[in-house]
Amino acid sequence: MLFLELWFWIFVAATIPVYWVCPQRLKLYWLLLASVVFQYHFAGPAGMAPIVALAVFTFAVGLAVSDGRRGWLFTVAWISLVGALAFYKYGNFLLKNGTALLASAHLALPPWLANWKQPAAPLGISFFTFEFVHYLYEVRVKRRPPVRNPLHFTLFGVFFPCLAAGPIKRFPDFVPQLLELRNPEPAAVWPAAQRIIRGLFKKICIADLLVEYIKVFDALPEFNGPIVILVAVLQGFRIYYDFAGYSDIAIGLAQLVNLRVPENFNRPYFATSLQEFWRRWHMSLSSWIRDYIYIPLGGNRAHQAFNLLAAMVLCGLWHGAAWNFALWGVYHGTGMVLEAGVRRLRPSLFGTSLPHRVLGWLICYTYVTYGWLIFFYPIGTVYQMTKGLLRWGYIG
Amino acid sequence: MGLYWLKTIADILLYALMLLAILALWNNNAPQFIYVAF
Repeated sequence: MLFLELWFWIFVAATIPVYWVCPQRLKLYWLLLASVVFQYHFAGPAGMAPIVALAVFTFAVGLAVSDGRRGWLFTVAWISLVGALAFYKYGNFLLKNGTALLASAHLALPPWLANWKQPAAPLGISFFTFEFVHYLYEVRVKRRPPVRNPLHFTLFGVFFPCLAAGPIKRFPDFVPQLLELRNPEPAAVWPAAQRIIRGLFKKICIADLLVEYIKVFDALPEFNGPIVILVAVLQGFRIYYDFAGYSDIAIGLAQLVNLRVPENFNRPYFATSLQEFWRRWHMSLSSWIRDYIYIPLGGNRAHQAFNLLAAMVLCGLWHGAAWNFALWGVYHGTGMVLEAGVRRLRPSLFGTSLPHRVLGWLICYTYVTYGWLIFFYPIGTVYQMTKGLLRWGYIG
Repeated sequence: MGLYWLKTIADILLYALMLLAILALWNNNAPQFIYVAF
C-alpha cells in the first residue's frame, strides 16, 4: 500500500533525518540506498530486475547516441522500452484479444503462447519507462547533453518518492539538482510537512470515504438519473483526491530532501475547456503525451484531428489494458477534436467574459464527469447507466 | 506581528486537526492509490 503502510513512515522517519545530517558528498549515496531499499521492499528482487536492466540500457544508449549518430540504436532502445511496457502491462490483454480474433477466423495460437502467464508488472513501470523514453528523445532528437554520471541517472530512475506513480520527472530539471544536494532551508520544512499532511488527508479522509459512498450506489440493482449523476460526480472527486493526495505526498517528500519534482494538478475542475482541463490534470503525464506523442505526430501543424485522437487513445490505454480505458481515450480525443473545430470556426465562443467562462466550465465539467463513468466501469455498465440517465422517476 | 502569530497558531491547529482525522480514519486495509495500479 506504499504511502499508507506503517513500514513506509518508519522508513521515512529514518531516511530523512539521516539525509539531513549526512555530509554533502554522501547525500547522493544515501538517497540511492534509500531508493533501493524502498524498491526492494515493495517490489522484491524480481521486481527490481527490469528497472535496473532498463536503466543500465537507457544510460548506455543515451551516451552512445548523444553525438547524433547510431539512429538505429535509438530506435532499438525506444522499441525495447515500449516493448517492456507492453510485455508487462498489455501481454494478457493482447493475448486474450488476439486469441478471440484468431478464433473468429478459425485459427488458434500455439499452446505455449496460449498458456503463457503474464508476469506481475514491476512497480512503477508505466512511469519509469516514460521517463527513460523522454531521456532518450531529449538526448537524441533535441540534442541535450546526456547524463554522464551513472549514479545521477540511477537516482533519476529510482528516486523513491516518485517511483511508484510519478510525478513523471524531466531529467533537465531533476539531474542538475543532484550536482549539489543540500538540506532544505529550515523555513521550507514546515511547508513540505504541510504538503504531506494535506496529501494524506485528501487520500484517507476524502477519497477513501467517497469510495464507501460509491460502493453503496454501485450495489444498487438499477440506476436513475440523479444516482448516475451523483456517482459520476463522486467518482470524479474520488480520483482527483486520490491522485492529488498521492502527488502531494510525493512532492512533499521530495521537498524534505530539497529536490523539486513536477506538479501534477492545478485545480483541474475549474477548467473552462477540455484543452485547459488537460493542462491542469495529471500535468506531468499530459505534458509528456504532448511532447513525445502529439507534437512528434505533427501537433496542430498537420492532421490535428488524427494527432489529437491518437494521443488521447494512447493516453487512455496507458491507464490500463482494458477497452474502457481505450474508449475513455477516444471519448476525450473526440471531445478535443470537436472543441478544436469549434475554436477554429467560432473563436468568439471561447471569450474571457464571465458568461463565456461559466458556459465553458459547465460544458467541460459535464463532459469530463461523464467520462469518469467510462473510466471506472465496464462498457456494459456504462450503457446501463447512460440509459438510467434518462430515467428520473423512483426506482424500487 | 499579532496577525502573523494568529495565522501561525491557526495553521498549526488546522494541521493538528487534519493529523487527528488521518489517524482516526487510518485503515490498514485502505484501497491502494488508484494510479499505483497503472
